[in-house]
Amino acid sequence: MATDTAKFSIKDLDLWYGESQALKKITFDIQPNTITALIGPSGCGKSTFLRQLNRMNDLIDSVKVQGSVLYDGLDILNDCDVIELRQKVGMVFQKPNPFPMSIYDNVAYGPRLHGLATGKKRHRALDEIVERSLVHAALFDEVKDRMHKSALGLSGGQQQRLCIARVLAVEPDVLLMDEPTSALDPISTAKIESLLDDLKKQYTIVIVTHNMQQAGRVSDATGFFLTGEMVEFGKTDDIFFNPKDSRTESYISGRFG
Amino acid sequence: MREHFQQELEVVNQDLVRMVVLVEENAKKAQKALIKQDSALARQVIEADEKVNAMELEITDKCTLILAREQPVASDLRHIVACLKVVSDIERIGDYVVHAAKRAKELSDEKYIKPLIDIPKMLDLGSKMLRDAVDALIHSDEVKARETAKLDSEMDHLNKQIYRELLALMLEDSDNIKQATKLLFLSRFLERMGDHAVTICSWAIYSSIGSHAEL
Repeated sequence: MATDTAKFSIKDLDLWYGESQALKKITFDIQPNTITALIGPSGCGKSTFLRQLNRMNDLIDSVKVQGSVLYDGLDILNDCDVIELRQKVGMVFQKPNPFPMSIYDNVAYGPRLHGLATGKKRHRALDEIVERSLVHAALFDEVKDRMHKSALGLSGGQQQRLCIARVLAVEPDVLLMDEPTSALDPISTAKIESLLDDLKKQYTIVIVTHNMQQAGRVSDATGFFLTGEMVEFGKTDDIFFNPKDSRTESYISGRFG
Repeated sequence: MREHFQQELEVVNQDLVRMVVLVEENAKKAQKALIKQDSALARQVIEADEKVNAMELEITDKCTLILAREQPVASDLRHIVACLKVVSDIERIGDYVVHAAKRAKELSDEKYIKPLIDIPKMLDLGSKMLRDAVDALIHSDEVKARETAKLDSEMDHLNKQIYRELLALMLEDSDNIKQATKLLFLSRFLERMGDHAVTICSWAIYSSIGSHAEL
């Protein structure tokens, strides 16, 4: 994979929480407009790695990082505006976390904060951003008649799609998802998964999942993490059909982990 | 550790072995029926084929359920897919054995135009190839699969030899044509046993290394 076309190019990334090393020499590229799944047993470092892509680990005091992460060629570990980075590289979490406000205000929150809707027609512009984001998140039809009702009244699956809409509203480039469907029922999970397929046309998606079948279903590339190392990274077809490393084979076949 | 899944895989492997043993036993009986011109024994083989056919369906159903319930990946997936494919080859080999039994029944009252030497050899070789091919699949043994596939040239050689001999006998005396034609067809069918065993070998290699092999 050519590095110059990569959305993210990660090289020799080490990360420590105090004395304990959580990531060891992680090196691989994430291609634009693809879905990359990160799999591995609990505590293997995959969520830590994901959080490094928009520097969410900065919020933890004892973290020390070495190596390089290039985002569109820009060194985001040293030379970048973190606020701007997090606008471009948005994140969706395991449990839906809507703000205790209306559906509309949840989605409008980011654009208002970043001043995305300005000028005389800013109300109209904001309406458009909210609608477009909800349509992209495949939620608009379900909530269009109750935009000003509390978001907390939505089902879990709808809340999660609302959180995706909230991320999309600030016009990101990359979506990071940390087990986005692990708290959802199968129908909501299927909706999010088919949504991902649409979203990758416009965004680059990196998803951490414990659900092996989900990784197999949705992703183009898969990386297997084990005790802080990236054991194997490759096309999802190859990883699930004929992995090169016996540890990958054992993990995806359910022999450990 | 998915012990339940491993047990289910083991059950499928054992079923394949049982099916192969059944086909082998039938081949032995068909061979004896041909040599001894024993029509009762030939009938036993023809009747036993129902069991072989039933086993094909049973194994297919088990594999399908494993795919649905366990969603295997990597070598486990390849193994189940290979089992699904080879079970029909084993069944076809069973059909060729039945063909031999049917010829034995038909010819039980006739005097053979030549002593049967190579046709029984083909039945033995076909059985051995079948046994070794399925063994290679079950043990993911790529080397054994490749070695077994090589035996097919011996099968082809026997078939050609039989053809030459029967052709000579037909030229010699046109009264030989009727029986010689039956034996020619039989030889051709038994030669197909080898081809199906080679197909099983190629699935054993697929299961073992994940790519299709030209054998």
